[in-house]
Amino acid sequence: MNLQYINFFSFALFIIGVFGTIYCRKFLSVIISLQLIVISAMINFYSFGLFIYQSSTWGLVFVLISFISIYLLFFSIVFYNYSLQTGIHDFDVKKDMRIFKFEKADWWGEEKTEDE
Amino acid sequence: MKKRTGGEKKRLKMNNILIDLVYPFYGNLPLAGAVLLSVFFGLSYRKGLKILVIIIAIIAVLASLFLNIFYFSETENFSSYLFKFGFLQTIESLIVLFSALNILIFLSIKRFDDRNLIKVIIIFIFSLICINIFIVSKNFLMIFSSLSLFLICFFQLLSLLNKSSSDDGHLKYSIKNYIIRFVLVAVFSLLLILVGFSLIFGATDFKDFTQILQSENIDNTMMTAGIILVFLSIYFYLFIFPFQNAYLKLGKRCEPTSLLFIWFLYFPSGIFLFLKVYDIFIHFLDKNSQVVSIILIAISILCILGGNIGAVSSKSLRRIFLFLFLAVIGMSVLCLAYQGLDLMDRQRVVWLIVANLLTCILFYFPAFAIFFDIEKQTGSDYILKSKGFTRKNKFLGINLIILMFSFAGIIGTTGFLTRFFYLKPHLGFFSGNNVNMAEVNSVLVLLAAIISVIGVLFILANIVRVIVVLLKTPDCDNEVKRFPRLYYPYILIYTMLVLFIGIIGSLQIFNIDISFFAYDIINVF
Repeated sequence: MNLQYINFFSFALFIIGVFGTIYCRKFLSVIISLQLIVISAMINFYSFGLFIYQSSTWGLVFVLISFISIYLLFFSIVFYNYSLQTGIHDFDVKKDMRIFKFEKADWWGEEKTEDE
Repeated sequence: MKKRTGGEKKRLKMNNILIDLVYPFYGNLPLAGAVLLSVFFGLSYRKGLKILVIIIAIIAVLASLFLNIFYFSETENFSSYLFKFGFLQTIESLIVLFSALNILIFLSIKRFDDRNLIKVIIIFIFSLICINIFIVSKNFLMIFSSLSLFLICFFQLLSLLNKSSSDDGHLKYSIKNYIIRFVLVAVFSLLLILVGFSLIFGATDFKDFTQILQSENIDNTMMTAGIILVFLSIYFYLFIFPFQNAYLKLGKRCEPTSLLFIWFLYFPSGIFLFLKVYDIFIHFLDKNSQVVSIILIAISILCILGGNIGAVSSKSLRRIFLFLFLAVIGMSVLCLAYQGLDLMDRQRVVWLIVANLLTCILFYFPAFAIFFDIEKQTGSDYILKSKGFTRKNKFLGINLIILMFSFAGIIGTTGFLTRFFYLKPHLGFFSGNNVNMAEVNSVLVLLAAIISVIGVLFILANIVRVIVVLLKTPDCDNEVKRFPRLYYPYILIYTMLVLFIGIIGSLQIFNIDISFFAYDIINVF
């Protein structure tokens, strides 16, 4: 195992994750892309901790706690989207969850809402 | 005097150790107590219990405010492996708690009949605890985990508050959609921070930002990449132009009190994150002052022009407020460019960033009270629905105009202090004082001067536009009924506060001696 290859792999995952997050429209695709970024960061922490700092305890603790907190956040978002409690779970078909959109109304003039 | 026995001494020592262990979280203790007490009533819909929970929450926030000030004045700076508590952290914590107090007032007035009110208050106090921990966090571990826990609480708040805001299925769908999009942007920026931390950790095994500054490896490529990722994440987190779409869409549609959580819990957390990495930012600024200044000026042009043009072309009051908030963030970004151009020192930039936030707080809360009540009564946030408001309700109207003058930066009000220090470096530069002409790039300074003047005038124009509408003769169909009685003293307190701070600050700016007020508010940091 070579640290350089691991880093290349992690960087590739990060780039795919960022691209997927910005480009994808489907909710699940965005969530999966975000998870690729998480995995990329985890690989970095583990590999640096193992190869450079001889199994750094801090790195492991950070990975554990950040993993728990970030997945709690993911869980709450996914649950909110698919939960029957919101009463609008069956509307999740529009496939318009692209997180960065660029529209004229963000710069100039009015924006019409659904009830107008 | 009674002598203490060995057991008593041991107990006293243990108590002291426990008290030391809790520091700097004394402010969180009453909040935690409030959650513990309120959690038993979480599923109740009874009015009496709602009032009890509101009172407990308000007392806890007030106690937290007091304890933060008291213990900072007693013990001053604190620093450990995980936490750092100094003057800046105290101010940040006070800003959050003051906003929290206002939000609680609005929740109790506007959402009292909501079945989820007690749940909202419990999660709100949880989010306050998280943001308080985030403010004092120094280590990457604490910064990341407290920020992500705060985001979880914030997301729960948004979803709870917007649960039944509309009966229309499509509107419901779009609110849900935009809440998710908003939070996904925040999650994306949080993950960029995570990757940034991993690169910084890999480069030098550092666990906090102060270690980075003291290191010789600060210019290591991997470290630089990590730090750039952290700055990028703050950029996305604050929805700075051109990535403002999710923020504007949600802000236009969401239930009104959610906006307060976005403006005064979510955005301050991003600004505080930036203040944590500010010293590293200065290091980069000193190394590549021209390049970084050009980038910062470009961002501020986007924000100031985008925010103001968006506000001026919009007829929706919500969108006007949403855009103006981004314009104020743009002004804070321009202050950073000033530092790169040697027009301003570190203390003044931090002061301006905090003062800009405070100016927004002192205007947005009372304005929110009036305009969103009009929206609730008329059913629309169209600006002409407020036409002639000052003529119909003279007391609130005049107070509102004074507060608007403050936001616009008229002399004698709080806003004047920020606008004065915002424009002062240019006066010094063009009159040949303070700055050595050979050392700065005059084109960039000229550009910064133009955009700062445009920014100030544009905000003034936007505010004058709203004031003109308020002063017009009212239409018969714009029937706004009575406002809650609490609004009258509430808005009067804000007006007095704005005038008091503004007059004291203006007198201090012009070096007029005021012996009755010893605190130097224009040189806090």
